[in-house]
Amino acid sequence: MKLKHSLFTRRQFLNGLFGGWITALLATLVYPVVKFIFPPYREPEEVILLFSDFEGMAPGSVKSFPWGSKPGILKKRDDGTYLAFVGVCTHLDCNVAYLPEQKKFFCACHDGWYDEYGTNIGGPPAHPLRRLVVEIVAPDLIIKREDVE
Amino acid sequence: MKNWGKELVTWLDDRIGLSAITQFLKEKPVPQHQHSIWTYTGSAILLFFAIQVVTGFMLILYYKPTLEAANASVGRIMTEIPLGWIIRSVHSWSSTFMIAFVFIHLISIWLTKSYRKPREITWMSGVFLLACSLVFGFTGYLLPWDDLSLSATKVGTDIPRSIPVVGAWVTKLLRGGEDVTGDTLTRFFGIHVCILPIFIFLLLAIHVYLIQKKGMSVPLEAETRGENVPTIPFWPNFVYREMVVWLILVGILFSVAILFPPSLDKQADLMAAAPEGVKPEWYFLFLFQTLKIVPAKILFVDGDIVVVLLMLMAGLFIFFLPVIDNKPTERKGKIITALGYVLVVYALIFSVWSLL
Amino acid sequence: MLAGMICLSLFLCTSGWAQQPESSAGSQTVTEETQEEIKPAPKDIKEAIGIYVFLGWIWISIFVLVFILRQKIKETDRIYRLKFFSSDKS
Repeated sequence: MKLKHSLFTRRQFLNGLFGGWITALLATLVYPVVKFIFPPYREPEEVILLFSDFEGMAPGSVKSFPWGSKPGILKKRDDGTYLAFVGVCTHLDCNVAYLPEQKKFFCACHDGWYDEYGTNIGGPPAHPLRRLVVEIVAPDLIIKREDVE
Repeated sequence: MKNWGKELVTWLDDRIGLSAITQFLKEKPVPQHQHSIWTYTGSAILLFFAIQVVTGFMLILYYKPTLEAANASVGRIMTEIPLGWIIRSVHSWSSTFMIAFVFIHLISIWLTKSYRKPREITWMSGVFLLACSLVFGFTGYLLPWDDLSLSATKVGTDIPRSIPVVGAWVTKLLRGGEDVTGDTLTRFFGIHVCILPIFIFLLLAIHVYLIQKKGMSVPLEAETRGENVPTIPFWPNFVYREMVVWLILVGILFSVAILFPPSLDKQADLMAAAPEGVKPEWYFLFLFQTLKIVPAKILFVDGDIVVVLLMLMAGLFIFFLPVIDNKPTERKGKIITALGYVLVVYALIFSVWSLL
Repeated sequence: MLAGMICLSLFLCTSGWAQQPESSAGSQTVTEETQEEIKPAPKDIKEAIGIYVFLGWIWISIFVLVFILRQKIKETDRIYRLKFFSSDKS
């Protein structure tokens, strides 16, 4: 169906094309800038440690290990098995400490408390400490993200 | 849709007087004559400088200005950070283009004598801008902290030592001590990202303000004959033409940056011998060659001192050029024009010679 | 005009983005003691292709935009000449 009058003038068309194309060009330039400014941070899928470094831990004690750029906490339970957490408070990212006499994790920033299994029991943290999976494949101690096979 | 744009403009105008600026830009006349093509060099410099600022903002997010970490941080930018090598390459090439256009701009103003009254201060602020651009290039060159840039900096900061009386002090000021060390690197970084940008923004403000105040110049012949040179409005006629130039320059810059990116040599070793083929960036090559060919002693005076003094005198001559060239239409004016050509030829020949 | 701008930019954005290189350039292996020169280069063929597509897109854009700008220049020059030579100095 042929229109009686144009929807827009030649000037409007050219101006629209010009503005639109420049916008597209700028968007294409913004993309590499954004990728540069926000580099990919990949948390490790797993961390492999020497089991011998952790074998001699007393039951009920903790030892830290590097989990990417965060602190990981390895806890030896009374029955000799291991628990691993990401030692970062789930409230506002401060590093937590373990208080062995009270058998609790404590975050000094805002008085957050977690029990010995990492469950949040007091203060502002709304979620428990993040768990990691521990596997002992001699001579290695492998600590994995929970969602990794 | 169109209305809110107009409403926004009115809102701003009521508060900051936007219409005074837009009206001025619409009426500002840009003369059209056989030398008009050189008027594009100024905004080309601004374009490349803006690119330097943007890429510089990005590089500074990852660069570490210490002796131990500098080289590795540049390496990280080039390998780990997504597209970092392109950002660094654009920053490096854009500095070359910017300084090239600064030289072209200077020569074009020299040869058209646009510095004559009443534009003398515009010229002088421009000379300071030239100095800032060269110092930007010199300080930036050291920042990757590889063998070549370390040696080039050692030579470059040693040259002022030849200045009588204050020479050693200038060298110490530049180096942050007797030798080029990690302190030099930190000092150059501070100059490159903080001190120089502040100076250059102030100088640019003066330079651009004076250009608007005095208007665009016309060729000397037209002025002396009292001709009416045809003009076009700055906005939008001249700006559209400038946009064409900018687009093409950006295309060339990106192509060159992506196809010929700079590599990174290994970390500088303060104790190692200077690597072969030490040379400064291209814009210092002609000075470098001049120093090379000058004999060790000229009439009981160190060759170096002679060259440095000549350089200082040349700098002062260039700075005071509008005052020296106070009779541009007479013989003195013609000699000065010829001198401009001589300087270009000297710089080109000596630069090429230094590479042979 | 707005619809045209949105459609155009969406189309071009997605075509540009789809081919954008994912991550950074490769380098020669950097060892602890003997660090060699790092030559910047695309990490893999996908990134290399993405970069050349990007360059091609830049140059196509330049040609299109310069063409439109030339039309705009002719037009504004024409308008200016009309205004300049007319008695109405507004």
